[in-house]
Amino acid sequence: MDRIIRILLISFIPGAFGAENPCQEKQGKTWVAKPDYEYRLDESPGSLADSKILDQDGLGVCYAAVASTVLQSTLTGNPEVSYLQIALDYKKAETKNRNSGRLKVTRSTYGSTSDETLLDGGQFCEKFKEIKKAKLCPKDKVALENVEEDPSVQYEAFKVMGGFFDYSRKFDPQKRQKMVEGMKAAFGEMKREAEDQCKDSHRTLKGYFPRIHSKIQGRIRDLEWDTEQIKKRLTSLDSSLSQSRWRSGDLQASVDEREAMISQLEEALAKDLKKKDRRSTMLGKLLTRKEKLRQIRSRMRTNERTLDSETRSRDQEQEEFSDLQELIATKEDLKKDLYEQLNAAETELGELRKSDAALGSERPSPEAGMEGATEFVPNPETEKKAQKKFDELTQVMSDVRAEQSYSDAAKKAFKAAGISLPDSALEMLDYRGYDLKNKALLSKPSACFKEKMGEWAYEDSSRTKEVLAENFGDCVNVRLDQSLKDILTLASKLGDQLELETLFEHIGKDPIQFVEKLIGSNCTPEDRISIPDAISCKNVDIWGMLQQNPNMNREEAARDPKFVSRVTSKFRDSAFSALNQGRAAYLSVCGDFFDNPKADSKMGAQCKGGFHAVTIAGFACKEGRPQYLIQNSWGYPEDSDTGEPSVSNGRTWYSETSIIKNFNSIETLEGGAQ
Amino acid sequence: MMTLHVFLIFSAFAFGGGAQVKETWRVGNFSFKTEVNRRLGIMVNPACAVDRPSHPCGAIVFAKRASKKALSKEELSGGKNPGAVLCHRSDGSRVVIAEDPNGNQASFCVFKDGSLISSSSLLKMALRNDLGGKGR
Repeated sequence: MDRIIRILLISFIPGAFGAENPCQEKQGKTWVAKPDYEYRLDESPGSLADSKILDQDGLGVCYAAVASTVLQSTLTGNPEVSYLQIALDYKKAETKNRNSGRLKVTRSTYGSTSDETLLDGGQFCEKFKEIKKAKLCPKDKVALENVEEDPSVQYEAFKVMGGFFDYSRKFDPQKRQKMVEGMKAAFGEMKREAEDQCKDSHRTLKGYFPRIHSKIQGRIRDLEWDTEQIKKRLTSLDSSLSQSRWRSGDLQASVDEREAMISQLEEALAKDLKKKDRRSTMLGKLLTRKEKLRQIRSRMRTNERTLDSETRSRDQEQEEFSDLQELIATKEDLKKDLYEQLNAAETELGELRKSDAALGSERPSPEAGMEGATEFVPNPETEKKAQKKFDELTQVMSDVRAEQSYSDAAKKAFKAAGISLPDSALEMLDYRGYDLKNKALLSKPSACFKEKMGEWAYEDSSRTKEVLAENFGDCVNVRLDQSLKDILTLASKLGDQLELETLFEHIGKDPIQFVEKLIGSNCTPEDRISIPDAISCKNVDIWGMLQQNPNMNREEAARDPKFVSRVTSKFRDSAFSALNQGRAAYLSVCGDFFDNPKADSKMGAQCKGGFHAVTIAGFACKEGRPQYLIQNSWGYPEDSDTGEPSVSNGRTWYSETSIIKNFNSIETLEGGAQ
Repeated sequence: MMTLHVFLIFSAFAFGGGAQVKETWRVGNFSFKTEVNRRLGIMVNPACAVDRPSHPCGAIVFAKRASKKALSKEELSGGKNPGAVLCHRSDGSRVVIAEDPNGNQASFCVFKDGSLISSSSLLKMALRNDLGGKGR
């Protein structure tokens, strides 16, 4: 379906190749503009619909950026090809053919000399055959082209590679090989040293197991006894509380009864008092018998005694009740405390039993226990030297010093070893019997890794490579050129999957191959992209056309209307031929054109900024004038006036006239299935 | 790398600014925003989108002095991004390559004060300066 749509679109491209203006047609005797239209590859279903705008930074690899886009538009499935790899393959071919100083890198001193990387400058067709031979990598498999990494690494990386290239060129192949052998030997020594240290630290860590196990067992026994005691106390407390509550209830009832009795007595006494008072008056005496009055007085005395006794009893009971309430509250608090203690002890017990079980599975068997239980015993004679190397390699001492305490360091070490121990278990460890080295080895085995507490082994990780690069020279007591340190550091950033020994191999053989390996480290043979044999590269350039006009120089040619017409005709033929196949074209123009589209460099004769390659990704007729859609590799363009991000999908339309005024070459791919 | 992150995060968030946010760019696992300084017609970090004479942005100070004329043909060989080359020539700045949400790349010149300017804008300013400020 896409193919049908593309063919329909292509049918809008003027059939009139050559010198005639494709955007005008003859009506009678006059030329009139054809209706405006656009044909572009960057919109669906065009071959560049998924193409991204690149930013080549300070690298002179425009030729490769365009080559990548042209290949994307040409190859089946429109893959994104790594442009940095194209550039490297190009330069590899150039080195092979010329064996000259073209790859020389000159460090920049502002104003006078240039800071040229080994990739700068090129033409697509010139080395297409060699690029075709190379198996290219997709962009997403090349570390340098993926901004997940250090985003500024691209240019910096090539500067480092350039520095290394300069350095390695100082030596003939034999000397270089010797240097690499030395590096490999030194690295081998360091690796062996690190491996020994890793084993030591593993043994040391294992040496802690019996001690920790014994401590944990002791603590478990203590805690079990504690919990038992707490439970007994709780039982006893519960019983005592129960009795106190019973007594408290009895007292409350008794106090209540006495209160009632006291009230009754007080009431009876009040009544008797009234009677006694009434009968004690003159009239009362006359009317009342003496005996009656005596009875009242006698009853009152009895009641007063009873009242006094009951009141005293009530007060005593009330006091006892208050004391008992206080005691109950105290016992409740104690019970709460005991439960908290019990919970804490049971939690700790649970953790300790779990840890001990985990430790038990790793703990050496009694037969093998002697080795596992062997503590690391430093050898004073060799210790200092070995320690220095290991510390430098792993930076372990600084990590230890940075820790708050040794138990923190140990905690970290056990965590790294996959053993989770409760704080209480770590705090039980007695470090006094261990020297600093053992703690250091425990704290962070940077150069080691562990697998289910199996043997620790040297790990060729990025970080290790970085540390190695920093300390390599010092560790092996050799002075390394900065460029070598830089390249090792770069390798550590880019080549996670690259073993250092492999890198050394490449350094020894071919610096370009090394760089290629370095940036394409994630690209496997299965990932590689092939260019079919049937595809070839065709170029039309001013230099070639001038060969046919030896009496004319470039500037004179640019002023000659016939020459210009011939150039225009050939340019159109190439551009339309490519676009008609749904392919982009490689265009080299004077860079001044991008500063000012009206610039006229006389086909590059007066070019101030040097030539620059861009992609032709479309054609349009606007008001009878042909225009070409240009995709640059200087990042997403902005509107020249407002600074807003550019419209037109990140590409810009330029008039054919402007292009021809600054034209250098057009290069297209031909052949191969479409 | 960490410093760079601090630069970008600082430039993207710390300054604030009232102008409309135009673009979001991604570098690795974090993103930053740019805005247009309408007076100069350039793409910068949001804080530099508004002119503050008392606190000039490093990016704008540098851009106002930039000159493409100072670059030799050799320095631009291979079609290097001229804005990036200008940035690399400064001691206090570095180029970072970021991607828009569609995966298109753009390079930015990041300065020590956390300000940044797109390489395209830097080139535009340099060309404008070479014309005596008549480029707009």
